[in-house]
Amino acid sequence: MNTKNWNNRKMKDGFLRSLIYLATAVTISILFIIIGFILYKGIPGINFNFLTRNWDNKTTFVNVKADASKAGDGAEGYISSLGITVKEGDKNLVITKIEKNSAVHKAVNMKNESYDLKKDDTITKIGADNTEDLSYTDALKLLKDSDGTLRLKVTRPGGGIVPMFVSTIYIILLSLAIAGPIGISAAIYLNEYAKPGRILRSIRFAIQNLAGIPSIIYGLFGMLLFVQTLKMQYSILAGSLTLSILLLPTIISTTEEALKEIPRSYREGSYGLGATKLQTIAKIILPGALPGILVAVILSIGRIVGESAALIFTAGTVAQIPEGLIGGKSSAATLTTKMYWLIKETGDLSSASSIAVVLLVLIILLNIASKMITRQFLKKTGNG
Amino acid sequence: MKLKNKVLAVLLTIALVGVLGGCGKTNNTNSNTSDNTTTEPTQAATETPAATDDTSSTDNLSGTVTITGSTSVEKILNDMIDEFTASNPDVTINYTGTGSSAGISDSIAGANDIGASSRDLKDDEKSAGLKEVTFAYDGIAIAVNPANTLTDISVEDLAKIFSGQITNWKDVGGKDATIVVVSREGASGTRSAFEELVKLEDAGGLTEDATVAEGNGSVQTTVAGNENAIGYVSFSYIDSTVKALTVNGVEGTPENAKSGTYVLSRPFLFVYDEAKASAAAKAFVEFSLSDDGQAFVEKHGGIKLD
Amino acid sequence: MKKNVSNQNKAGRAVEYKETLFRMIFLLSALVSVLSVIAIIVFVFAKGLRPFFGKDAYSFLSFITGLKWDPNNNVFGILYMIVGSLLATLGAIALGVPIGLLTAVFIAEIAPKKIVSVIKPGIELLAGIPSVIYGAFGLGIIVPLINKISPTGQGQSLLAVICVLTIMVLPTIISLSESSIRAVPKSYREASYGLGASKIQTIFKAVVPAARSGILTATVLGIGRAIGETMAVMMIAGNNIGGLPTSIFSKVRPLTTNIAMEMSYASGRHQDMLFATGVVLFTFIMLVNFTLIRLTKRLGNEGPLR
Repeated sequence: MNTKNWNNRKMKDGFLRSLIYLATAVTISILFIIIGFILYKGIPGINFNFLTRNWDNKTTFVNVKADASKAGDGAEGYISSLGITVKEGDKNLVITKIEKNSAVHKAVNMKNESYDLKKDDTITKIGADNTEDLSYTDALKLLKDSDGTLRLKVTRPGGGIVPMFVSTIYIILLSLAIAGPIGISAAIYLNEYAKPGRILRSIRFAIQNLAGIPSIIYGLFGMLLFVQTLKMQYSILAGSLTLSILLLPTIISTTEEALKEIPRSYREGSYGLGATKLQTIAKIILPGALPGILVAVILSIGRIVGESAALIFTAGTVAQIPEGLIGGKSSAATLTTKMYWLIKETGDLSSASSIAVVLLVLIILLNIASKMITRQFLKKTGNG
Repeated sequence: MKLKNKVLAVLLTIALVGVLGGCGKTNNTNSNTSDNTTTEPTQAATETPAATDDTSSTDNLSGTVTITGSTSVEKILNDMIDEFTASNPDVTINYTGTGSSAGISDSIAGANDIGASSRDLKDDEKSAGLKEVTFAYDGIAIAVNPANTLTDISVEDLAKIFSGQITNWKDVGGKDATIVVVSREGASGTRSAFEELVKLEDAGGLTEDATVAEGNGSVQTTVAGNENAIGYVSFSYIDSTVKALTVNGVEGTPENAKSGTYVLSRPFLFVYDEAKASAAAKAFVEFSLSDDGQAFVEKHGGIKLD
Repeated sequence: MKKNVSNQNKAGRAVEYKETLFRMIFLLSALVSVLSVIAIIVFVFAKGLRPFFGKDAYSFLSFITGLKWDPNNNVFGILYMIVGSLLATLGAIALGVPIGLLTAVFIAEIAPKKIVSVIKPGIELLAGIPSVIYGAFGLGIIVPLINKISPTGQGQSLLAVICVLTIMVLPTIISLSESSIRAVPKSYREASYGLGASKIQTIFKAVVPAARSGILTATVLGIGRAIGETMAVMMIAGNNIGGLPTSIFSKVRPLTTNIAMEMSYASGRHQDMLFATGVVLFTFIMLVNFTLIRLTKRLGNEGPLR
């Protein structure tokens, strides 16, 4: 009887134990499959061009001063008058090499601004002739024989993530510049000033609610208030303002946690020395809470980097480096929104995964940073 | 320690200034910085950028042109805008994809300079007397999985499939398998063009069973990933991952689409108020019809005018 | 002497002003949250409730009980979306809570420290992965898998949504459950061992029950995350235009995807109706939030809820 009971219990224990192992295994394998999938699909697309180029091809007309007197023969495709070497591309000429004192370094666009040609730029029109209507040798000859000001239509190849990367950074900076001070001040109020009562209750209630609202609702709200009512159009400012509200709960609660960690005695000591409340906050409390505030900032950056639903309807999905804070030219896609756009518009899962790899790296870096700060902090206060 | 405190005090001050300054940030709007350099080569309105520099130019185009409307033409328009503004640097063109209907009603209301539409105007829209300029045609391809044995389908069968009256491939000559219908989201121009062209309303409207995918790309991926799927996409989205069916026995080629023998085709239009349109707006429309403009139509799988 | 005193007073008053000023700044900052919540509610509700009032009003009843969404024909029914959202959430919780809880038990009670130091960062990473990546993963791996086993021959389904949502709620459930399990006092375990219970018995009979309100909080947070998730779900739900789901292989169109899918180019009544969908979603979220606030109060824990 006793042994039976014992066996029964052993079996039950074993069963539950294997369930625990199974669940853990599921969790871990999910992580591996997701990351493996992203890396498998995305890594092949990552190269130097992907990281350094613009997203769209950019077409520009430039004027260059060709000097036919600089005669000279070089390798196949060498244009002595311009000091460049080209090769045959798909209905165009691809610049493969530019000499140091080449005339194309002094090229100007139609606004008379300097527009330095680079390697891999393609020439699609020489003067009035489209390269696609010319044979390669004719196009070469045309280039070689030209003298004086020559108008070229030049296309700079895209396919890179630079604009999205820059836009992401702009949006991070803007959002933090707005939400950071407000969130930290709010946390100071809640932890240092507020007395229990209706105001405190409603503020806490609001923060808890904000934390629970899904980002698509933030997107709707941002679109209605910032984009339409305040006429900011799809812009980084509209996006950042929307994100700022979304970030408030994170910043406030993380900062508050850090403020709570500061021992009471610090405050009392400061008051005892005759410091005012404000002085105590500025000189004692905030320095002590700095690591916590940094963690709040890092958490916020993570949130911004990963956000899409709140940004699509407020900052748009255009791959460009924003110029200005509001209006048509300030619309910008972050890495994440562009990734979504890619899947939806082109069905191109591979390029999307390449962006995802970049995102993963960013997120891992952020996680490590927040870990390191926390560890440093724990070491200092000896709470570890 | 002391230094640290100072740094913090500074940080705090900056932070607080940030709070106060936060509201004032909106002032940096995008004031159009059109710095007119007089020396730059000018370009006459109707000339293509190919024109030589020494042509005596009539006027120097400037100003902002707002285009709203169809999202189907996004790629074509973006390239056209790129090239047009490259040769007319003082012109700024803003294009926002809002959908054809919104673009047309914007034009009627005068809220844009040019409306882009990927369908013919309806009668009530025509009554506003806008000028319509067709700058390209587009064909809607019927996409199935390459593993599908079917090669042709009639418009009537398409209507029946998309309305859910035919649910098995064997009823249209394929193998015995359930048809997976893939359609587009409600506001899509391609969807309304498709539904109009196959007269889906008369057949009872889109089946509730249909998968709705957002964007041409999503339709293409879904069809490519499912042996029994059928969807519709712009011509340019047909590649090796999906197979295009002939419709009523006619292959979906640009020629057939333009001539109308391939029934699933539609025009891409600009609509604008001729009396009010700025010189820059008109020049852009002219440019879209020029060889250079048309090159982009072809590049993105649209059908050139000729 | 007199002068000196007044100077001191002046300085004192300046300090006082400064103190009050900053106090007000801090208070105002704290009130931004309240204002934001109010503004969100006012704006979204004002626009979302507009179609149900005035002349030409749409019946709220047919909106909330409708089984078909067809904006082109002025049919806006969202009951099937509500059902879809709820089923997806239910499924994700039913799968995610047991898996998450058991994993949390492993991390908190069983695993050696070394293994924990590997697993925990992994779970934190899982929590930080953007939802779009989960969507891509769902589209690239889960949907093709379901394609193979589904009787409808279609991978985009309720099941796919449940799978992805389960993965997405896991980190929340694991980390919150883990910390509440760790918070159970040591004496509970010792007492249980003292009564002759095995380790597993101790975990399931003493520790987990003691941590139940933390686990409950984790569950409610998970519900909130699942019901509000948009981008990942949109790519894999199928987004049918009508009809209640009949099996886990049916397509669904959660409330969130309805909004995100059509918002970018909806206008007029259609756009208002998308906001109305937002109002319904918001109401559900509010219910979740209230439950959560109740729970945390019971826990006596005003800690961070991220």
